[in-house]
Amino acid sequence: MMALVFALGVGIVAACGVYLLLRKRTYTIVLGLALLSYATNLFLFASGRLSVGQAPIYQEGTSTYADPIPQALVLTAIVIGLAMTAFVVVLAMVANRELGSDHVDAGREEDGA
Amino acid sequence: MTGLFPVLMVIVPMFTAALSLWIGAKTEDPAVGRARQRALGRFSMLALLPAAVMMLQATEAGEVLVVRVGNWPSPFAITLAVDRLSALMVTLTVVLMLFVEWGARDGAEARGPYFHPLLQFQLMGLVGAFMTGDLFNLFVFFEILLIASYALLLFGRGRKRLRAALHYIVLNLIGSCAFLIAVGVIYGLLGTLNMADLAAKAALVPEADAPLLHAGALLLLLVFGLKAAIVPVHLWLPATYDAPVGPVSALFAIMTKVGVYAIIRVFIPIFGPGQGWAVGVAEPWVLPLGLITLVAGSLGVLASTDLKKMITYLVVASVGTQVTAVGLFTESGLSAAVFYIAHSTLLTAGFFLLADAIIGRRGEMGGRLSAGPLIPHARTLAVLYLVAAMSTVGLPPSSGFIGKALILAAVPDAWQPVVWTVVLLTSFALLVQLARIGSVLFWNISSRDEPVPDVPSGVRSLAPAAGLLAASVVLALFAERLDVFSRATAAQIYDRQGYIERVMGDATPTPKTWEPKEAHP
Repeated sequence: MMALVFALGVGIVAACGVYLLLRKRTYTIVLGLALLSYATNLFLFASGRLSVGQAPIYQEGTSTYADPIPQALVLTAIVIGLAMTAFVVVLAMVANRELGSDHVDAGREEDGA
Repeated sequence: MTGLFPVLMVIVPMFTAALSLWIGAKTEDPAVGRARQRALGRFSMLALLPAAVMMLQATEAGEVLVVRVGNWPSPFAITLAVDRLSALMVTLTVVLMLFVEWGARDGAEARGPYFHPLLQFQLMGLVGAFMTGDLFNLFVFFEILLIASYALLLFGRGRKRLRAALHYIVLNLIGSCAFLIAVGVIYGLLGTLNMADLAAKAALVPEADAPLLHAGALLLLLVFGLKAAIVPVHLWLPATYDAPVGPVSALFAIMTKVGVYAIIRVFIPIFGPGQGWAVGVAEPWVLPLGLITLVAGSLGVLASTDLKKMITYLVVASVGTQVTAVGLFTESGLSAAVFYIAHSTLLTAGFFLLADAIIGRRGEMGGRLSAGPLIPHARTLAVLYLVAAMSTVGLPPSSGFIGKALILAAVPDAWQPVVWTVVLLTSFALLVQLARIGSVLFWNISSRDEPVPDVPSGVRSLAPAAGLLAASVVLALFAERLDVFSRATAAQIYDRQGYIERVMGDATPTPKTWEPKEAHP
C-alpha cells in the first residue's frame, strides 16, 4: 500500500513537472524543473526500498537495515538541484529584463537569429 | 610515484580556481588582476601537464591507477580509476585548456572578471568526469563541468548568449533528472554504483529484472546522447556553440567527447557483450543513430550561411563519426574511435579559434559567407584554413584521413555498404562546402580596402589557432604511435575481467548479499 501511494505521488509530481516544462514562459519552466527534480529525488530515495523505523547504520541487536546509500545520494542531488535552480532563476530574471519578455524564444525575430 | 596523481588532477584546479577568485577580488586594477589570474592559471596547468603525461606513460605500460578515496575497500570507496582511455582524455583536456587560455589572451578574457577561475572549474569537472570509476560520481562531475560551462557560455553577455544559455541549461537540467532516475533504477537492481562492480554484477541480473535494467541503461544512453549531441537530441548544439566567445567555443570541443567517453565507459564494460540479460542493450541503437547524426551534421554544414555556425555543424558531423565507430562494438572500431576523438578535439578547437580570428578581421561582415572585404594576414589565414579543412574532410596526408581510414577499415562486412556509403558521401559534401567557403572568404573580395580589425593585433595573435592545427598535423606524423596506443586502449576497455580485478583490488566483487526488502505494510 505504501509503495502504491508513493509511486502514485512520484508519478503525479513528475507529470505536473513535465506539463509545466512544456509551457513557453520561463517562470512556469522553472517551476516545472523544480517539480521534476522533486520527483527525481523521491524516486532515487525509493531505490533503497521503502521501510519504516529501521536503523541506517550498525546497531547492536538489529538485523535489518534501511539502505543508507540512496539517502546519501539524494542529499547530494538535493544540494546540486538547489544550486542549479538558483542559477536558472537568476538567468530567467536577467533574460526577462534584457530580452524584454519572459518568452523562451524572446527577441529571436529582432536579432535575426 | 604516480599513485596520487588522479587526486591532484582534481584538487589542483579546484584550489587554483579559489585562489584565482581571491586574487581577482583583491586586485584594484582589473587588468592587473587578470594578468595575475592568467599567470596563476597557466602555472597550475603547466604543472598538471607533466603529471598527465606521466599518467599516460604509466597506463601505456599497462597499469591502471586506482585511488580509493578514504582508503575504504572497493566497492565502498568512491573510486578514481585511470586507465589508458582516461589518461588520454585527461591529457587532451589539459593541452586543450592551455591553448584556450592562450587564445583568450587577446580580448576575450577582458569581457568579464571571472574568465580564469571559471576555466579552472571547467577543467576540474572535465578531468574528474574522465577519471571517476563511480556512476554517481560521474553525475557529480557532470554537474561541475556543466555549471562552469553555463557561466562560460554566458561570458561576455549579450542577447544571443542569454537565449542560447537558457535553452542549454533547461535541457541539461532535464538531462540531469534523467541521469538520476537511471542511477536509481540501476542501484535498485544491482545494489552498487561502482563501475567495476557494476560490470561484475550486470551479468547476474535475473530474467525478471532484465526489462527494468534495459530501461535504466537506455535512459543513460539518452543522457549521454544529449551531452554528445546525437540525433535526435542534438538540436541544442549549433546555437550553444555559436553563441560564446571564440576561445569558449574552442573549449566546448571537448564537451561532446565527454558524452562519447561515457557511452564507451558504460555500454562496453557494463552493458556490453557477454553480460547475461544486460548484453548489448545499446547495440541496436548506437550505430544507426551515429550514421543519422553524421548525415544531419553534414546537411547542416551544407546549409550554413555563417562560418561559425558551419563549424558547429561540423562538430555534430564529427560526433556522428565517433559514435558510428563506437557503435560497431568491435575492438578495432573502438580503437578507431579513440584515434578520431584525439584528432577531432584538437582540430575542432583549432578551427573555432581560426574562425574567431577570421570573423574578427572581416569587420561588419563577420562570419557571413558572402563577398567580403580583403582581410589582413589573408595569406597566413588561408594556409591555416587549408590545413583545417583538409583534416576535417579527411584528405591525405592529414590526421583526419588516417582517422577516417581506420574507421572504414574497422567496419565488419555486413555493415560495409551502409557505413562506407554514408562516411564517404558526407566527406564529399564537406569537401564541396569547405572548398566553397574557402574561396568565398579569401578570393571573393568586394572591396580592396582593408578594414581595421577591432579585436586582434598582429599576426602573432594567430599563434594559438596555428598551434592547435599544428598539433593535429603532429598527430598525423605520429599516427602509428597513437594507433598502437588506441589499439591497446580498446583492448583494455574490452578486457572486462582485467578491469574488474584492477579496480576491485583484493576485494572480490561483493556477493549479492543485498536483497530487496519488502515494504512494511
